Amino acid sequence: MKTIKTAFLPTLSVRRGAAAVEFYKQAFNAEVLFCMADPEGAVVAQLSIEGVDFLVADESPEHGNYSPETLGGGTIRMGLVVADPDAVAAQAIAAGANEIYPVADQDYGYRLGRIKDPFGHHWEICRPL
Amino acid sequence: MKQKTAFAPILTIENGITDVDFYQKAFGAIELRRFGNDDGSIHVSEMEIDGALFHLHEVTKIYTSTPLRLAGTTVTIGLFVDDVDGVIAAAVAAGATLSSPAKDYFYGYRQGEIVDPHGHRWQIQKKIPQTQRTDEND
Repeated sequence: MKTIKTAFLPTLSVRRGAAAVEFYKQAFNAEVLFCMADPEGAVVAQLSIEGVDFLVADESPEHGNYSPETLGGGTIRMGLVVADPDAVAAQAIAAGANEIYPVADQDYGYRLGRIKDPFGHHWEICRPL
Repeated sequence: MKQKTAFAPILTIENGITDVDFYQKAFGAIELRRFGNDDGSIHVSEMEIDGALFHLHEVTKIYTSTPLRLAGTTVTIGLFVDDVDGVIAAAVAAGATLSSPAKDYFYGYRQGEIVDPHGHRWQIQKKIPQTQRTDEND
């Protein structure tokens, strides 16, 4: 019998991890569950957006984890399903994200818009229609 | 009803991919919908693993990077599962590369990492009791 619920815990690799944590707090009202810094200032932090957790970590190329800034692009976009994508996207843009395309009803059944955060990660903010 | 907040990661794959059976074999994923191209290749595959939704999306003009093109990844997908060793074994049997064998870590996780056939990194994990930090469990 299964004893735990299957769930994702994405880790976003960034440069300037401490600044990224501050951005995600402002953009998504993320709560910081823990934030550990090494002597050089590199951080690993676990954040929660309304109970959905993710990790933010300074990049670690020796482990294959690179920031989008280092690679010149990202390999995974963060789909974030929320009750009010318009408000969430607007708040993220006010906090410093760039709009890739605005929130709108998409023919594949989502109200969805895309932003790029200041650390290079793309977010698709959406809810099912 | 209020929409529950959730992550639904979008993993970029190369153009021309027709076979994403890996995710079914490795993780027991179910394909919910597929948007295909005229040549039969995948534009978007919508999948879920036991209710956790994710998408595979081919390269587009505004999102051109894949792990294979960049020789690295910018997001690692942590996946909580019941049976860490079983899922890792299934993933490797289905074509993944084992990048970090499963091990108990002092901070209260049993974790191992695999790289899937499209280059994405998955950290397969479950929570366990925390222990004292030693050389073996660091």
